[in-house]
Amino acid sequence: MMWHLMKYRFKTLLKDRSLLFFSILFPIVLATFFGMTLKGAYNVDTLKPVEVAIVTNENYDQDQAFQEFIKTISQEDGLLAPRYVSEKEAESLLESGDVKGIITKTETILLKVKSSGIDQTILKTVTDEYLVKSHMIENLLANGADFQQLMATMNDTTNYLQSNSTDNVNLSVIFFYTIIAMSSLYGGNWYMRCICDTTANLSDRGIRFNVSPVKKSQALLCDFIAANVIQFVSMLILLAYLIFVIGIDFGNQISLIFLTILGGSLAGSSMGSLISAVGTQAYQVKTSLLVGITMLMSFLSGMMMVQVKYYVQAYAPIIAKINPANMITDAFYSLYYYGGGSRFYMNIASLFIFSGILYFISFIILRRKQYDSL
Amino acid sequence: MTVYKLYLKLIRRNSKSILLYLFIFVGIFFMFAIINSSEKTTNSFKEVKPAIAYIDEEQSQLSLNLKDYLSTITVMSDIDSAENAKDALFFGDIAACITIPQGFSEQFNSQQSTNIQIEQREDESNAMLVQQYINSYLQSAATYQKNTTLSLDEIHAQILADQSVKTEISFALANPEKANDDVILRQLFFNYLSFISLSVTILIVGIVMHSINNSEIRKRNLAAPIKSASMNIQMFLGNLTFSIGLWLLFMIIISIFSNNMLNSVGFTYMLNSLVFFLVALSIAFLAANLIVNVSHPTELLSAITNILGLGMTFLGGAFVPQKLISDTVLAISRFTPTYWYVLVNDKLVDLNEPTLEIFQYIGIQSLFAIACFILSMVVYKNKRVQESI
Repeated sequence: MMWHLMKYRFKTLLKDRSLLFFSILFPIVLATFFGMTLKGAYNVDTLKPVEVAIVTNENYDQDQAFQEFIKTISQEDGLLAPRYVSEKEAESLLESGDVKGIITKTETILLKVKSSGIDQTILKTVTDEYLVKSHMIENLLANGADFQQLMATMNDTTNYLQSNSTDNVNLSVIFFYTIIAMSSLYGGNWYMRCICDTTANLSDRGIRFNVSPVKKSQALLCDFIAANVIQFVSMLILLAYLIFVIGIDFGNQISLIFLTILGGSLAGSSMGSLISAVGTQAYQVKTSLLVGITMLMSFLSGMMMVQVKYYVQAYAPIIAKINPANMITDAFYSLYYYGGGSRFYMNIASLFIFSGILYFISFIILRRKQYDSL
Repeated sequence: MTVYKLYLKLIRRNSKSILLYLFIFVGIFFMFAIINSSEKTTNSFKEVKPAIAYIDEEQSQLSLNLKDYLSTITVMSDIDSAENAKDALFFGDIAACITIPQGFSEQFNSQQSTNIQIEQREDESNAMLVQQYINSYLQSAATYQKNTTLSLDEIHAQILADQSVKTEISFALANPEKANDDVILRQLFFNYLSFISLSVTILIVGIVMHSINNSEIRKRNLAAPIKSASMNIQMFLGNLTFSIGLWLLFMIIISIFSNNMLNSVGFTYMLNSLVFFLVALSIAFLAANLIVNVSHPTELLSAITNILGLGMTFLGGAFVPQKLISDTVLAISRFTPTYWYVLVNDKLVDLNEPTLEIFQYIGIQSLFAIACFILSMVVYKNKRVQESI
């Protein structure tokens, strides 16, 4: 009997074209569009030497120290890429955007810029540095310090820092993790379809089913297996597409990735189960409800705007802890950025607990459903 | 006008879906507007202050002084452990995480180079700026130490006093009135509008036209004493009413959100979006004609809506700015009307008056509308021929 039920449940589900589209094709289409547009979108502003115009007026020509200073800072891979021009030329370069600022040596230094940004701030930092150091050196000379030693400090480039660049910091991967999370939760549609087919007040087929001598628990179990297997496989297809076609980095712990997918599928179908068990709305309404709730959960885990995930974590951590989309996204994130660890296992455990609780509630509701025999 | 009235009745029947989409759109747009609201650019130069996390394992005089100095020129977050800092670094909440190791002061005092740990994205500008600040402070402190007998606190005070010598800044903002919140909000709204207008139009027009036009009902209607030309004109009017009605609704919404609409640029935005709505209508018309013989079109229609809606808007650069999209993709997206729509919206941000170029782009969009309309006429004719065989 079980085998019969399972076989026909598989067939019924696989023939439902709209479910196939939404669970498999739609995430792939979405991932393709995201992949085309978003992959390079979050690259950081890497430091390039800032283009600046240095006005070669009288003050500049007379100030050796200043010339030295600019030269040191503009060496290979330095902070500045200077162009030594006249005042008028400098103005036109600034106007056309070829340089980010104009440095003119006056009594102090005059910096002319057109907007407020990191490049202009770097220019200001450089000029401030010169002024501050000169000021400091003048003070120290006045107090009788050694001239040569002081001049060396003008061009001091001691680095007091040891920099550790973090790798795996491509922010756009979060989008793709949320796509997986969203399609896991959408996968709840499969199980919802199963329950709709076996619940009398949701479909004609349900009425027929309830009249037949099949044990409901058997049917639910078969449906559970069939729906989850189909969902798991469709998630694997999506994952393969993301890894091999779009080229998203998931880290390289295959078994842990599979574990996450499994947890995600269970969570999704448990949500589908609960929504279809509770309430008496029509099947279409329940589907839209699942879609709406999934969208909200995906938004809160960073689907439309990646920083939302961070803000929710920082300012409303309880939401992050109970949101299944966030659990899935965070599990992948910890695999990618931290390489696994306790954060990952916490998320997996939450996923299984979440699924367990929701399934439990929905089974309790479904078990005792009786209908008036009128 | 019975067909026309029927059309309107059908729209009303489907109004729940329209309202759902509308609600989601306004909700998401509202959230985007709040999250994206940048500070009003003032008319003076504003330094970029990188955000950092400062983790002090030593808590010595020197490290506390350094922290004090950095707090004047950076935004210090209150993250207190390297673990928490990692997330903040990933999401860009901080540019760098500075860790002062034990033994820092001793190393500094014996004039070796210290090894303050800085965790950052490789070569990132803001982080390099922070490195510059720290090195500058420590270099000055070292100089004072070598050449004077001041204590650490006195050195710190002296360094802060030295900072008072500042560069003179001359700031020449290109368009002082232009760069503000409202202009960006307007641009965002009209860009996101492309997605919602395409989706809603294709979905609703598809459903309604299918109800009137699918072969069963059409054959019944053809027996009625109404000229088929009149029926077609009424349906066309119905389509137009729906499209323009939707457009007016959105114009009212943007007028509530932004009070910058009553000038020539505002009107250009409105004209651009009106043309785009008509383009969306013609695409919807084409789609509706293609699925006339399908018996249960809802799922097929929602599939088409999602694919076309998402695809065209993503490619056109409505969600991800056009300058961040690669050139090969942009070459493909030139064939979508959304590309030209978004191009106009983006260009209008920096303009005070619409230029000829803008009207040319709007003209290109209307070419799309005409092309789709002609195509749908061809499809319509073909289906008619198929039917009568």
